[in-house]
Order: sequence, then structure tokens, then C-alpha cells
Amino acid sequence: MKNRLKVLRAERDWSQADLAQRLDVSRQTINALETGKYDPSLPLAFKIARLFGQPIEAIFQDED
Amino acid sequence: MAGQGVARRRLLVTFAASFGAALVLGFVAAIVAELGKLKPELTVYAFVAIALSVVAVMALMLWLTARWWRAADEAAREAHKWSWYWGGSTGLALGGVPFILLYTMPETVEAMLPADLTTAQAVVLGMGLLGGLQLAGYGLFWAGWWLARR
Repeated sequence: MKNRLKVLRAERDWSQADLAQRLDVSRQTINALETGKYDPSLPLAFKIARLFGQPIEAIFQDED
Repeated sequence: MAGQGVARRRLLVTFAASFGAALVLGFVAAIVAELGKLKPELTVYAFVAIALSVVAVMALMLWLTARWWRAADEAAREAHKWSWYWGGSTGLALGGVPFILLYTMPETVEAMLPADLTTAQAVVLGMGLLGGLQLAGYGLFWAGWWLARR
């Protein structure tokens, strides 16, 4: 699944560690999410959407 | 909800305390075991003391694992679940090779083992081999899971 996490994070000038702290996950998890190699659970996706103030579908795009 | 850093620090303190408690329990069990060797009439008490110490340490470790699991984030949990399933299963499958060989060709396998190996040592060796293979498989698959997601 593709996502705009890296772009949204860069817009706010946050490091991966900053974002990890805000989402209460590890930096490695943020890296796995940004590279599209790990898809978040629904609760984490909602948390990310709330943090960036955008709907989930504006952040995550199905590749099909 | 506590942040990852706070949760990790709490976990480290709990782990250190638990490790200390496990060391003390192990030390007490070792003393009792030695006493059991010196005085045969104490053997039954040593047996029970060691068994209870192991149960206590394992219960402590399980409790600690539960705390660690709650502090882990979802990707870390997924890595562990995936690794236990695939790595543990692979290790178990590999452990099946000596198991089947031992069952079908016991004389051949026995000839490969040290002549002075006792039954208890053989059982410990078998359990260790199976557990070791599962742990090795788990470790390899866990490392692979994270390497593939760098």
C-alpha cells in the first residue's frame, strides 16, 4: 500500500523519531510504514490521520 | 498511555528487578541442590525446591513478557508473531529429522552418541536441540522480517 507519510512528515520538518514519538511507535515502524513495506492497523491508520488532520484515504492509497 | 520511552524505561527497571529475583532464586536452588547431594535424605526437598524455583522464575518471566508485549508497538508484535510462526515451525520441522531418525533407526543414532550418555542427558540433549532449533529459526526470521522492511 502506498502512502504520503514521508511527504507529510517532511512538510512539518519532523524526523522519523519525532513522528514515532507522536504516534507512540518505534522509529523502525515509521521507516517500515514510509517505505510501504508495512501496512498499519486501522487504529494506527486513524491515529495517523488524526495527527495530520486528513482523511485516511488522503494518506494511504490502495495500489490495485 | 505512556510513551515508548517511558514504557521502555519502566520495562528495563522491571526486567532488572526480575533478573535479580531470578538470580536469587537460582542461587537458593543451587544451594539446596548441593545440600541434597551431601545429605541423601534431603534429596526429595532439593527436588521440590528446584522444581518450585523453576516454576517461580518461569512465572516471573511470563509476567515480564506480558509487560514487554504490552509495551511493544504493532509492527514489533507482528514481527514476533510472524517469526514464531514461520521460524518456530521451520525449527520444529528441522527438529523432526533427528526425531524420525531416532525413531526409525535407534541403533544407528545411538552409535553416534557418546557411550556414557545417560538417559537423562539424552532427554535434555533432545529437548535442547528442539528448543534451540526453534529459537534459532525464530531469531533468523525475526531479523529477516526487519531487514526486509528497512
